[in-house]
Amino acid sequence: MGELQSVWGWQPALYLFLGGLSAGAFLTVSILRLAKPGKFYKVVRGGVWVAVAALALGLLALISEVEKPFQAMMLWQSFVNGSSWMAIGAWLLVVAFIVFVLSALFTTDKIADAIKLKGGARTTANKVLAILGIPCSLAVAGYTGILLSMAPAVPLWDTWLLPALFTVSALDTGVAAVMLFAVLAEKDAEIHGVRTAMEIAVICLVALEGVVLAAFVSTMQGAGGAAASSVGILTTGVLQAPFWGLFVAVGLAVPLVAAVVQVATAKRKTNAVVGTAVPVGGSACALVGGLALRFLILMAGVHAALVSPAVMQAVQGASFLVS
Amino acid sequence: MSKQYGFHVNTGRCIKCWACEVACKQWNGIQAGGIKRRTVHEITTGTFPNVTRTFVSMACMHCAEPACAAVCPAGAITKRAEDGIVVVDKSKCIGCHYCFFACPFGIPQYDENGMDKCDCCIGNGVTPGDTPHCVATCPTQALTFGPLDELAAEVQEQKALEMTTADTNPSIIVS
Repeated sequence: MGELQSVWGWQPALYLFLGGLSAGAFLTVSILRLAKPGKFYKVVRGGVWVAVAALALGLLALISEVEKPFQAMMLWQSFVNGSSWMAIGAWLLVVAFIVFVLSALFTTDKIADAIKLKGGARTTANKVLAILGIPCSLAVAGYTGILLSMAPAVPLWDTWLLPALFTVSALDTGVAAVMLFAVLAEKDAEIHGVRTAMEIAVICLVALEGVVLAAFVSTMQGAGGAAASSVGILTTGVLQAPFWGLFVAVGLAVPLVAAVVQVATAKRKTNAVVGTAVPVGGSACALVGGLALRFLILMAGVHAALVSPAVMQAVQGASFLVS
Repeated sequence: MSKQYGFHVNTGRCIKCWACEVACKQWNGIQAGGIKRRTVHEITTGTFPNVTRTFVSMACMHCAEPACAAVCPAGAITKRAEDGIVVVDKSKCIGCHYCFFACPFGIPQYDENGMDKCDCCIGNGVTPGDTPHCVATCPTQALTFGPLDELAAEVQEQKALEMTTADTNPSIIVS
């Protein structure tokens, strides 16, 4: 039972992470931008460019995985089946990418000046894109999980809890990425309050992710059969070290502790003591955990036919070994 | 409903000679070591000294509701109305591998031309009413091909197991 899923390799796993990161970063920045208009230029600019870069890289990874990448790029030919979630997702990604790119261009001072977009028009454009970007981000984050959950022959993925888990993780990694800019680049003194708010968000998201993860694992174990053996690969099988070590400990526990420490010390003005190491370390760990989660879920997604071939069951109705 | 063609696999007759696999590769011009449209599985049950081996030759089951076609983004997989055979248009297929994760039997395989699977030998010139090469080659007549309702009637006497366990309603009979 040590067999891992290998038809989809590292490229889709990387895309699932980068797509989520992009969506999470854009969502975080959009909320920040709507809550505090015109402020924290470096954080906002950093966040939108992270969203653009991550989605661009993710799409490249995705396209490099298919057998005919150039044909796949002709979307109007290759993504035409409306009943396929992959086709719906491809168009969604195009729309989201356009929104993210426009937002990044209009956010950057030099580019906005060069195209003579100024004053009220620029503010309005950025606000509209931020508002449009929120549903786009949520859809992109959710779609990374929906893509897997709509492939019915993999029992581990066959649950709405997977899109839920990926969405929460996407927001978590997005906040982490934006946090890096808030800590390292932003000089505005008011950022202190924003950072505290983001750390509170991290605590909530990690707690939520823990709940969804627990529900996911227990549901799969309860389902028995192929789903249970698939989740067993993660929790007690060949992937248990990265699952507990990289995802649960590094990806959830460390960012949680880092966030709690910062929230607890925020009011005492002991920022000098906490320094930048704690938020930067916490954010980096959250990103590593998010990346690990996508690889783990993809690798443990063993095909039902390999776990309990229906053909064989129909023939024998009992236990068997396939040679 | 129009005709649905399918295979009948008689496990009592199969001797695991792999002639069907070889004939399939030969007639469809598939390279050795690559894609296998048809595979003979061996199932071992019991513990020594009471061990039973059963052989089952499996390929695409041309499901009534093919999950592969539903998830294909490019619309490259279609179920033919006239004979129910599920076919792949390789010029449309982009090779995204999504259909592998949809098929309950993990049938789709891939190379640089995209997905490949059994087409009941339509691609090499066998008309659906005629016999695919795996069936024609089978020395023990463990494999038969024809309209599914006729196959079902033939094996009624025996213990026939239709693969109705899968949501996709595979067009196959295993006895």
